[in-house]
Amino acid sequence: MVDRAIAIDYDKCVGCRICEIVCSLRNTGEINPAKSRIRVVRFEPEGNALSFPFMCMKCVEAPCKSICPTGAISDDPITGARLIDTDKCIGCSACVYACPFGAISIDRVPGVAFTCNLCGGDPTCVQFCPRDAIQYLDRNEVSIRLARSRLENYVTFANTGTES
Amino acid sequence: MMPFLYAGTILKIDLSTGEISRIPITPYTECFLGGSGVNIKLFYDHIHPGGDPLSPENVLVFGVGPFGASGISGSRTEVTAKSPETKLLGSTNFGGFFASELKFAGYDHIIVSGKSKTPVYLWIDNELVEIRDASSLWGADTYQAPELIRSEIGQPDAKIVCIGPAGENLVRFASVQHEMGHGGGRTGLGTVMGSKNLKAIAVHGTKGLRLANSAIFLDLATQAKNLVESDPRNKLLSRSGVTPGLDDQNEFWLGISVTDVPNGVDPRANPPKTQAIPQKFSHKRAGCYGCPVQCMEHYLEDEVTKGVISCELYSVFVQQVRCHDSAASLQSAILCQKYGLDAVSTGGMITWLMHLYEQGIITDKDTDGIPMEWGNGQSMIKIIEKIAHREGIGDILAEGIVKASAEIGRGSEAYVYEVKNMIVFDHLHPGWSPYVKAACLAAAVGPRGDNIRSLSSWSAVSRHSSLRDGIEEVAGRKVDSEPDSYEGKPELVIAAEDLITIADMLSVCKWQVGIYTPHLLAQLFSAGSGIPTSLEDLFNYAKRIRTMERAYEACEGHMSDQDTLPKSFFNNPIKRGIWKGGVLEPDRFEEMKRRYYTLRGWDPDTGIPTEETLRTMGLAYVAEDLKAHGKSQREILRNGSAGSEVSHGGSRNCN
Repeated sequence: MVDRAIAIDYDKCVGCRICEIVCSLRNTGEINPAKSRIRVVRFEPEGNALSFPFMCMKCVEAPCKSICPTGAISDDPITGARLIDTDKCIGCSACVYACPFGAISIDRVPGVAFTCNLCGGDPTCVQFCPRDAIQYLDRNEVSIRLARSRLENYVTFANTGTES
Repeated sequence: MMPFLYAGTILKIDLSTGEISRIPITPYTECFLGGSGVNIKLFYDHIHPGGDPLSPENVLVFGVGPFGASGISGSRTEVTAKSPETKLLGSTNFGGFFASELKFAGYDHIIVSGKSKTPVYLWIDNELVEIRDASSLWGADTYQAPELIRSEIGQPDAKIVCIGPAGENLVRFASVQHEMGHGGGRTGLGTVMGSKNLKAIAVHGTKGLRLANSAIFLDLATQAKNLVESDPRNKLLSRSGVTPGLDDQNEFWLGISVTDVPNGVDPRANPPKTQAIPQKFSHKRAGCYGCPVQCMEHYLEDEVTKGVISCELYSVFVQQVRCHDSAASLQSAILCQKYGLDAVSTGGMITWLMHLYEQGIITDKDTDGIPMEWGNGQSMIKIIEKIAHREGIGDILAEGIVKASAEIGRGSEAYVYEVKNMIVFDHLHPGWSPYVKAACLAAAVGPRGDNIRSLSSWSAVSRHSSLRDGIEEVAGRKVDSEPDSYEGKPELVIAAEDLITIADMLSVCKWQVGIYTPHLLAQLFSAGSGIPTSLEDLFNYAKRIRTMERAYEACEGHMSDQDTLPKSFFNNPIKRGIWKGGVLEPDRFEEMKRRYYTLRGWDPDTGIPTEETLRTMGLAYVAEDLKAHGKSQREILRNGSAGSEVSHGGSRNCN
């Protein structure tokens, strides 16, 4: 198994939502943010605008998997992504409530859960993100990369007053 | 069967009766493609020529084309109505997040007709469509209103277009604003919203858009992404926004004399830099749905300067008015958005006042004590506030520049740069444009009286223009080869107009259409729609739209003689700089126009589409309308009586 993980850098996200477009195209054949495995939440508090992408974070102890009453959620043996057995899934939403990120949803038709499957190991959102806000990295790399990015942003801001 | 890439439904709202209806888009997409295409057809079918743009009879059409939610840069919304500024076809176009949301809610177009008795806003949440009371929102600025609406309807993800106080007060050049930084300014369509008592449209959608072949589309989208992201001009836009390009352009133009300087101190000797703003104030990048470029700046500084700006909002309030006060420039730009004012017309108005003040034509007494010397930032802010609220001098200016100059008189008319009653972009100026023949032609024949449709003058001088590649590909000639020559310019203008029309019908950004290349756009459209569409097909759609626009204007009585420029552009040689001596000769200009009309299949004398052209384009019914309507409308205009007795064609299929 490849021990890689998704790294989301909120500071880099500009909120263009290209990830939602290409994810839904790749995984459902239509352009539909509501069915995208990655979603971007936008806040506009008092003249500011903040965008937060979120998706399955591949928890090591996955609450969605533990809570599923029919055992429909398993791990992809190669990528470690959560796979949903649509024959077993009864669309009960237990996983939706259990997920700490809101990264799993129910598709009303045909009434089963869906979440990120890492596109079989080459995530489309990562390929298309114009700002490298979403990366697919060695799990050990994630925190140090994020730390570096934060530091770079801090230094840029301190020098120029401008965020990247 | 709903066509691919379309949401499938046109929403019709009659604000007089409160009636809400839905019609399928299918019959419209055979002859007209997407945003500006179906928009012009819907507008043509519903408008009664001869009417007052601010009467309930005017129709306001919002439209989104096939790529409005597809991640092909843009997500542009096209807005069409009769313009209160030009009394001809009004059209404007804005980016952001509204276009995609409308598609996801299940609608491609919205037609708003009639007039509500009290202020209202529309709330569209998938199938739910409501006309809701907006009396508590009336007076709110365009940054406040979306927040108020979102909290009232309890949907934080709703996307909103709205008008500000200027639109409510029927300032003739009010804009349609969409959240922070996005807006359709030109031709005063926010005023049309105001005249209908329509404060806002809020949309939320959770549906999907079907594609004929998503795998091929995604492959092509990868190519498109590589083209867009590797383009050096886009790298600059992504990193530094539009300001370096604007400064380049300004520097070029400063080499060319505009007016003689009476007191010997040239205020342009030390030109203000647009780049000073992003360099001075903290900001982050912003932009539209599905676009990797993110060309806008989101300023975060403080209450006054918090907002998003790009493009004309910069150049107008920095270079055009020669303002070195960065904070005041930024504040002026953001105030225009908040009040819902077209920055080009507002800035043009301020520039005009400064020009008059310099020439001694007006004094503080005419402007309620506001000194209109060049570059006075505080004066700009005060004038903007006065226009939006129609206070004092603002009430005169709010009626548009032609009426304002008639009111002020004293020779102020000579400093008015307008085409078809609308202030033109600073790109078009008697101080340099007479050298760029294509720009003059484009501005004169275009439906809106500005040359944004062709951008020829800009393309000719700016190395940052991405549009020129596309224009050159289509026209088969260099944009900047001999700009002073009259030769080949009608062909160039047609290529530019058609290319821009393709962008507007597909809902792609005008700045990116040349980089994506029209060829790749045709392939993407073919894959997405399942309808094999060649580049030539796309151009035929564009040509039909252009002719339809013209036919409508002919129904309004518009004739060739209105396709002109202010007197100061003719027989007035450029005085200084590398374009010194450049002059626009009326005879040669008329020759260019005749050739343009002929190439478009329009009558070379009148500029009206010929019956043969209309029939070839599948617009035989338009030819019938023109026979009945255009002629009588011209009679009415000539005889000076108002109103029209002739009934209009009504809704019919294209064939």
